[in-house]
Amino acid sequence: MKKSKLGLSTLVMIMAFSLVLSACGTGNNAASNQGAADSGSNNESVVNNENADPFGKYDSPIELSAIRYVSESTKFPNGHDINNNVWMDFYKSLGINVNYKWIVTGQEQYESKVNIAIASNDLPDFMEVNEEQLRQLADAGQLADLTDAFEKYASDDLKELMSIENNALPSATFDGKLLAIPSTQPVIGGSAPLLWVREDWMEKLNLPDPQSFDDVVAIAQAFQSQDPDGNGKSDTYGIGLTKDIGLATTSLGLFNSFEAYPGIWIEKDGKLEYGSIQPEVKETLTKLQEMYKNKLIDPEFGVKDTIKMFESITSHKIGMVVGPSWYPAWPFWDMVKEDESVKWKSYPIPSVDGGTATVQMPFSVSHYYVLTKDYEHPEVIVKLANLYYQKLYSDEAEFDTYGQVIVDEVSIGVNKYSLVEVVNPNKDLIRQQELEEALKTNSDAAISSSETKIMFKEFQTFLDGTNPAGWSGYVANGPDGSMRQLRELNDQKKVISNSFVGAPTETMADRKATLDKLEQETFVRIILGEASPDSFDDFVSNWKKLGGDAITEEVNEWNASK
Amino acid sequence: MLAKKFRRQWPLHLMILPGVILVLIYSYWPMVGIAMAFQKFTPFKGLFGSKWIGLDNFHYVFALPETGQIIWNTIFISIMKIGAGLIAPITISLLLNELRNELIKRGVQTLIYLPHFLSWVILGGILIDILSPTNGIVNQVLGWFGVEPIFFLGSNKWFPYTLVMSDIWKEFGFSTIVYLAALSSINPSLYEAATVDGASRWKQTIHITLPGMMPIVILMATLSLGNVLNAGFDQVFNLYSPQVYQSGDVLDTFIYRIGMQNAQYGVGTAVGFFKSIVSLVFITTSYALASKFANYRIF
Repeated sequence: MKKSKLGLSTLVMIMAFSLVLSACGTGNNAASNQGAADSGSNNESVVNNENADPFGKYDSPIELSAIRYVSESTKFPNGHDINNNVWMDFYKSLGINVNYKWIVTGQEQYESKVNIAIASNDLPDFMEVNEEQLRQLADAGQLADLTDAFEKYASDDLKELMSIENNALPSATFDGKLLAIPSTQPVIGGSAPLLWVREDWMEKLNLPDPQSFDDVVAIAQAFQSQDPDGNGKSDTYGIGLTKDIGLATTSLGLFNSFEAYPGIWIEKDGKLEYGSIQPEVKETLTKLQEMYKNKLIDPEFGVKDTIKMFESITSHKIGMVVGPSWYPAWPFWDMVKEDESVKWKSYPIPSVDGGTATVQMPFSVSHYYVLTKDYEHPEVIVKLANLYYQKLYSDEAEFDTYGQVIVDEVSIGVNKYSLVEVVNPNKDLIRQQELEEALKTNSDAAISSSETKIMFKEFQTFLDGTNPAGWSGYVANGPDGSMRQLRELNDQKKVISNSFVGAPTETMADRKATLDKLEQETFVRIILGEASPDSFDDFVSNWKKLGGDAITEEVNEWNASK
Repeated sequence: MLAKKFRRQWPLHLMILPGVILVLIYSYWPMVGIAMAFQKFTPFKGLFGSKWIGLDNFHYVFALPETGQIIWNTIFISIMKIGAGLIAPITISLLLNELRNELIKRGVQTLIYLPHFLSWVILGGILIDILSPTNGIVNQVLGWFGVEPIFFLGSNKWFPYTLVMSDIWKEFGFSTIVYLAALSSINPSLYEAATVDGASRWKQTIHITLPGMMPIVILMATLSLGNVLNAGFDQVFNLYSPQVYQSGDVLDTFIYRIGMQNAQYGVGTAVGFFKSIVSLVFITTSYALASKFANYRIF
């Protein structure tokens, strides 16, 4: 009876907020739009008149007002703070005076504060925004056109970086104009799926390595029926899953095995198609249903989230799980710490026809850097990105100064003070490669970043037995590690990501909640055997009818226009 | 005349002023936001700039294929919760009231009150464990009586009842205290008189205790009827999964997915507004009935 009215009260809060905000917002709109229109023509002349030096210094210093967040984990060396640090000094030496209008702690708070800033039209020259905010600002014509600036000022490194993820720039381009610099991030190590197997169970039961999906089923069968933990009870399962079928990495890898790519848009006959409605998905679900019926899958997966599944893993109930490359750090290390005989080993996802499968990962850009449209030096944002990459990853990198410093044996990531962050999407892979080389030569001379050098030291102490905690790093990044396997897949172009990127289309915004629910419900019910695999066909026709067709059309329009 | 009265009472009016202002700011001013329900609301344009679309949001929601099922789930779950939420605490408080041993009485009272302080986030994790069909304690106990394991949180047949049961378990201790308070206000001389007249304990309960606590029962029932479209967001959200969407998806979780996750604030507000109207109608009706038949008035 005393139940919370959370849903209602949240709405009321939002109403209250937006109301207050919009009240302030509308007044300013007209005025600033006018100002922006006047300065529009100036922008181009500024760009044209200067010599295009990607790293050039401003002879007469320019002012750049900005807003930013500092993440909870950011630390500063003694005497430094966010207004006074190596990056700010560096900017100043180049004639860029950064003034923060406000700074908050934590990204979530930042995003809601940016929403408020947008709604009240109280924008700085420079800020970081997410996809949705980028779309709003772009639609409202609030952003500086960076097309020319990027063309003229982007360093070769930056241009190459942006081409590694070929959708990065298109996702920031609206009506042919580049309106933002994407913040590229390495996601392959964070999200691409691998098959993790209890190697000690494999050895005990004398099982061969998984080479195809049938092998996976056979291993799961053995784990389920042959009592691998030796406690005399049949209480182990082959494969762990979570309730978010088609969303979480745990299930995506299994789909990928069948060349099904749920949740993302894939190219098919020159058109973009939604991965979840392809016939390969039905094939996967049929197989999973069979495995569930034979008790190869955790029977309670339907109510478990990732944390609950981790509990089953650490209590030795599950022998196989699909997961990203960092699982050794958590949850596996918790097990190995307790019991050294536990061994987890990764394999590339085996394909249903044998060999390795092509796997999926999310788009590597989720944040963007923008300038508001009346700012006079649109090239400054490109320069900031050039400089970041130059100082951290190029041949002239000064990682020890601008990336990471060691103060009192504590390493501090000073790169976090930079205004922009553009990271090579393959950073994790490069690191693994360097570590492998370094292990071979037993020298860290060829390692490019001190971050990796620190890791190499951990490897050495792990291998000579003085640092057992180095286990998780070694299993992920060692010569036989999970990242190594991803690197191979990546070299073979066997890692794909979403072909549709950027803000949701109109029908997507309207219908996605309904369609996602339909999708998840269908997938789970088929696996549980509550619905026959043929109900997948009904799902597909419902999906199309309930807005899917319209979405597909919009996505392809976007694809044609990018 | 009125002016004279006001001159005498103005300090009282002054004292109530801060309260009135707070209510205006926090309860009435935000209601302007209901306008979002009739807009294609975009935060950038704000409440005055967004496009007015009349009842489109409502049409949209009621045209969605899942809406009927969701409303049915909501009403089914909340009516069961309202019913059980009245019966359980009343019964328990009557029983506790008969206990002579103060220590046991207070002990039981505190014990059943404890779950009220746990949040559903925590209870969600605990319930998944104790209700697990393979190694949960509930199913092990049922197993002693030859009952096949029941997947309480994963079966569409059981899920609504699991929601009701766990909600009652969490909250009945709190309501019990309210009813016990009502019982302690009954004049003891009534019982003495009844004992003199030779009434048994049972007769005393029927003719003194129950009528004595009736005003509180009616108050609680009236208030809870306003919750007929509230099936409890935090509980359902922490316990449901795609497996039980069919029987467990309720209006609040629906609003959450559509309004928060998909940023369709207009549609979310429309559903919230619809909920408020239904609640208002229910509260008003039940209050009118209570005042007519039970001669009960809050104001």
